[in-house]
Amino acid sequence: MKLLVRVAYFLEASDRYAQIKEFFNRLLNDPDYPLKKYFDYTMIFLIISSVVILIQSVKYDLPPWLLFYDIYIVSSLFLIEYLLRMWVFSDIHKIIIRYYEEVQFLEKRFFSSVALLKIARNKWEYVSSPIAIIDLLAILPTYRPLRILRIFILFRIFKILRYTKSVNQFLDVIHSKKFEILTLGMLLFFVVFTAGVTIYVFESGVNDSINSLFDGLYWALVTISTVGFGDITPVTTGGKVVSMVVILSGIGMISFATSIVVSAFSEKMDEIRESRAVMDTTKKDDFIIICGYGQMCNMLIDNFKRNGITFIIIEKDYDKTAIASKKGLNIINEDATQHKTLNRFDLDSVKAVLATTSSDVANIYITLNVRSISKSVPIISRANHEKMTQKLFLAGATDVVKPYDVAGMMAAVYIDQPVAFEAINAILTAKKNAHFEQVTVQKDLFLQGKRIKDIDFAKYKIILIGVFRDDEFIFNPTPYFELRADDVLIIMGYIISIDWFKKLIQRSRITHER
Amino acid sequence: MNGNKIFIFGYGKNGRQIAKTLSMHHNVVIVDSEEQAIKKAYNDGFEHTHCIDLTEDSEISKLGIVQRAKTLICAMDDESMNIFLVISLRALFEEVIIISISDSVETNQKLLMAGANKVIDIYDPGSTRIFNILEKPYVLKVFDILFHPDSKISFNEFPIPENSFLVGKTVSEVDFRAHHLILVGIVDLEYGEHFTFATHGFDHKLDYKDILVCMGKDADLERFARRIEHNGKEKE
Repeated sequence: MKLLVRVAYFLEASDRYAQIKEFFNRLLNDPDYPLKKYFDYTMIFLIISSVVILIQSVKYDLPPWLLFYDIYIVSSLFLIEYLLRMWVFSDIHKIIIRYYEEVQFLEKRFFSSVALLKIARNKWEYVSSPIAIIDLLAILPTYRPLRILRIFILFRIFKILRYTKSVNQFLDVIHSKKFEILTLGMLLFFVVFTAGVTIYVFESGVNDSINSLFDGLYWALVTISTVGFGDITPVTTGGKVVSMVVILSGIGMISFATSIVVSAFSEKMDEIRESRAVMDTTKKDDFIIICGYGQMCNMLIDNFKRNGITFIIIEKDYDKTAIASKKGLNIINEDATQHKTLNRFDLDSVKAVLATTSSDVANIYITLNVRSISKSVPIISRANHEKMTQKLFLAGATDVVKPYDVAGMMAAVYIDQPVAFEAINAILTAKKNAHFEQVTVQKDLFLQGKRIKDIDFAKYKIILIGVFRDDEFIFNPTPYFELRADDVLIIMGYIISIDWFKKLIQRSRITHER
Repeated sequence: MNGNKIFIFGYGKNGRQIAKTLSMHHNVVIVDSEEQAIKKAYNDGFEHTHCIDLTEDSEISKLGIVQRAKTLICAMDDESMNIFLVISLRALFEEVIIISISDSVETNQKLLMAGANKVIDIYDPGSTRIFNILEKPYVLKVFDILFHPDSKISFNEFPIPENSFLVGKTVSEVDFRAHHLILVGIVDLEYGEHFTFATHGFDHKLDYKDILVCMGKDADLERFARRIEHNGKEKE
């Protein structure tokens, strides 16, 4: 077997090689990789420092070490990055192996040159991509004395684009209108060329400022763009007529260009907004995914906002998405029953997924879908019919909420005890005057060791409903009940009273520490 | 069993649950326009059922609601049908109490305008529940204990009788703990008919006809109900 093939098989078998390559691949290309951020910042710093050095060097003499830094260190780091990118772009050894197996199968001879050619063609794909060309040119400005080479510093600035997401999105948008832009470019070229040649023919020799075809073309472009420096003006009647035509077509050209960009953006705006929404949410450690934007979702959101919980909503219906996004909520217009929608998130690190659409079928589907991606993430589903509860549990839901469940109880209470109903309704809907809260007795804080009668709940304007001890609920404990660490108090009161009470407990920690 | 009948309009997902709970202590009549729903109600053990066209006022009048019932519950699955029904019922019967199930804040408002006495919003408790599952597991457990149909702990309201020992006292003077109860709130008629939670912190003076809402074990609640009938001679 040839050495080339042997090396290829060795690499294929090596886990370590794959790991290293994966690391660099993520570092360079995966926006979700935490370390990529630091890499990007470093590169941006190198670029900016290099540009500042160039600008300073135009007028001042700089110390040699600074030039050394710029010429050798920055450039070689860029070179290393370029080579790494080329390396992770594709797997050479796989190309060799595929070629080798093909050859074996067809019982042909293995030519190293063919394999190398395949590799070269594959890598050329990377080298010839616009962004790679910019990278390559950005390495070049090592030779300062040649003035024209300074223009390459511009490519270093372009290189920043690589490390900033918003500019990338802008380029994506422009890229999506490639065809229109090409058409515009062709048209522009045609008009400028015709006008340039015509003005040259009419004015050359008569007009002092037009001495070559280049002057004509320059004049045509300045005029058609409606910039009109006025350094070259036609003097013959023919030239003036050409000017008028060029000016008119210039207006059309400008509006055409504007409309291309505007329409490209309005088409892509939703996509950009959504990817922003996803980014904003996923950078938080634990967040909640809500599937379905409806009545229930609205009430939940109020609760979440009050408690500073991050969430993202997935909604299939475009109109509902538009309403929510007008309210400034993080929402994406996608179908939560699709595998790829939920795959955008690292479901294992999500705090919980809520399937709260009004359709039972959709809720079951979403539950199954989430469970197929992550075994551990909590899923809370909404059941609209009693029969669905069991199915939702089978599909993998951790909890099932049955909104209809309380209807009977509440109707019954209202009929028999309309006043008590007011209390229960306020409690169940967590109104601000009837908030239930759990307070854990912590070690060394002021609740520990206290008897119920020693704590003046009335003073804090809260009611003690009961205490959880070792998972057992003790309702309305006696005055001599002594609180231990890890007991959980269930208290009720106005939100402000409860917040105040909790704050007092926290404060007692501070005095203890002193 | 309570003598008065309760009419439940609509035997869908909500109506069924309501009927099930109410039938434990009340006489329930099911009304629906769908043959299927009525059949289901019958299979679930409800004997008093009517299958009528709910858009026809004349058919609704034939049910004999005026003589037999004072409470009507509208629990149609279809939101617009529910509102329509509330309007028809209110137009036909001025005196009855109409309770309606709602599934959104916007509908709440419409139902009240249509003439419902009380609107029960079922999604609001649902969203609170989700929030508790996520953030307050112990509160969730307490809710399950307190609001379970078979719970030994419940809420009860006590209108204060004329000669009760409570009359003339302030809330802070009554030791509810001694009765093993928790005072949740009060309707103090001096300040209107609205319910005020005890946590508001205002020390209400108790009078005849004021209503106390307490929480406690069922036996303690019953004992308290008997107790307040008496005047102040008894030792508290």
